[in-house]
Amino acid sequence: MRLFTLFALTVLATGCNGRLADERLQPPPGPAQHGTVMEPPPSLTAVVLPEQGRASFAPALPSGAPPLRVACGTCHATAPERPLPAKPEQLQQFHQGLAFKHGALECASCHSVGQPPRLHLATGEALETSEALKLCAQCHGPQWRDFQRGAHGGMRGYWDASRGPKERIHCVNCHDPHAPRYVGGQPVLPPRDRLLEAHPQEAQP
Amino acid sequence: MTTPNPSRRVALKVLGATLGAGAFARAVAPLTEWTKELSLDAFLQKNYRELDRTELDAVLARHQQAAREKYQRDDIVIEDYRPQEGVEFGYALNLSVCIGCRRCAEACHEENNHDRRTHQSYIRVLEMEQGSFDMSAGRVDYEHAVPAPGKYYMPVQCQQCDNAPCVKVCPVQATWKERDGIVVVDYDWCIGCRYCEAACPYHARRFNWSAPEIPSEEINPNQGYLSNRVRPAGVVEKCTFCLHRTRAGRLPACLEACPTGARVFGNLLDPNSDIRRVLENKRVFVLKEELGTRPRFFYFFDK
Repeated sequence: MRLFTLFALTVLATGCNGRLADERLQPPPGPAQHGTVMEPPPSLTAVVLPEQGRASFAPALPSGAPPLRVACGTCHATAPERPLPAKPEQLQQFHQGLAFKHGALECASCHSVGQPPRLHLATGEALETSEALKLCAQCHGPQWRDFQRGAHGGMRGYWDASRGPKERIHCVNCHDPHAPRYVGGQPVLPPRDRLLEAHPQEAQP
Repeated sequence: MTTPNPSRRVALKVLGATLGAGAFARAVAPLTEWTKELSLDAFLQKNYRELDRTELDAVLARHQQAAREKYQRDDIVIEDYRPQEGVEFGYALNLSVCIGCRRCAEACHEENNHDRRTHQSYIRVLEMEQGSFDMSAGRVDYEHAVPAPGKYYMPVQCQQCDNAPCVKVCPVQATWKERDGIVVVDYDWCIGCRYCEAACPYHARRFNWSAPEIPSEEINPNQGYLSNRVRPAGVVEKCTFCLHRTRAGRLPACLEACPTGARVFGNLLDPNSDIRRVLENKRVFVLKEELGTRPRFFYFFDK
C-alpha cells in the first residue's frame, strides 16, 4: 500500500511539472564554426561632394538634393600625382568644402600619394582603403578593443557561432573619418500611447 | 400552536433557488462567449505547459491555418521554439553610445507584428537629463533631432527578471519563466486581468485593447507560438528577446537595428561570450536593483 502511494505521488508530481519544458530542449551550442564577416565599407569607394563648395565641373544640384557621390577612380585613375596639402582648406580645385574636424591631424597623417590612392599607418606601412579599421585603431584603442568583442558598432547575424556568422560594419559606416563625431538624426516611430493622447499635459512635465 | 411561520420557509427556498440559479448562470457564462470563430478545440485547449507533442502540433497547425487564411499569406509559419541546453540569455545596453533614435523600437514593432495604428512596441526609449536618474521624469514622446544636448537616452524593455513579479501575480499561470531565462506568455491561456502589467516595475507589459491590425504585406511570417504570432484582443504581451530568432541562434531584431552598436546580446553561460566580457569589464548596473527582481537586462557606461 505504501509503495502504491509513493508511486501515485511520483506520477502526480511529474505530471505537474509541465511536459514540454522537460521533454524538449534544443541541443546546446556546438563548437564555433563561423567567424565574423566584415561588410564592405561603401563610403570608402566614393567622395561626397556637398552642394556648397563642390568642384566647378560638377553639374548644378537643386537645393536639398542628396550629396553627389563620385568614385575615387573617376579622377585619381588619370590625374597626375601631386603632393598632399597640410589642411583641406588649401585645396583649390577638388575636395573643396570638406568638413574637417578630427583633432590636429593633417591629410598626410592617413593619406599617401600614389596610384591608386592609399592610406598608411603611423609606421608608414601602406594600407588598402578597405583596411581602414587598423588605421583608426592606432589611436582609438578602447573603441577597437570593444569593437572586437561586440561592444561597439552595429552588427547583424548570429550570436551562436555554431549556427551562423556575425556580420560587422566598419568604423567609417557610421563615422565620417574627416569629421568622426556621430551626427545622429531624427528619431523614428514616436509612441502613440493612450495615456499620451488622453493626458498630454500630465505626460509632459 | 401553529408551526413556525411557513412564509419564512418559502422565502428561504426562493432565496436559495435564486442564488443557485445565479451561480449556475455565472458558471456557464463562458459558454455565452462562444462564437462561430471559437472552435471546440480552441475552447478546450490546455495550458501550453500541459500539452504533449501531438496536442501542441495540432494547436500550432490550427493557428497557422487561421493566420494564413486571415492574411492570405502562405508563407506564415508558426513554430514552437524551445530553449537550448546550456544557454541562458543576457542583454546589455551601452548608455554612453545610445542616441535615442528609437530604431530598436521600430524594429521591434515590425518584427513582432505589433498593431500599426498605435505604434506599439516592447521598447520605450526614455529621454533623461544628464546627471539625473529619475525615470519618472524621463520623456518618451520627444520628436526633436537626437541626441539632444544635455540629455541621455535609456531604452527600457522587459528585463526578463529571475525573480519576476509579473509571474508571481498571474492567477492562472499563463506566464512563466523558461529555462533560458525568458519570461513568456501563453496568449491562449491569458485571461487579460492585467495583474502582471500592474506588477511590473519596468512598465514592460502591454495589453491588447483590440486585435492588432497589420497590413497583410507587412506581416512577419516567421512566427513563434510564445513570441510574435499575432495576438488576440484582450491578452497581455511582452518582449521575449525575440525568442523565435534567438533560440535559432540569431540576434534580436532590436540589436540588429541599433545603428550605434549600443546593444550586446549573448549566452551568459558561455565564459567567452560578448555579454560575459561586458559584465566582467564594464561598469554595469540593473534598473531598480533595490526591488530584488534580479534582471537579465543590464546597462553600462563606457567611461
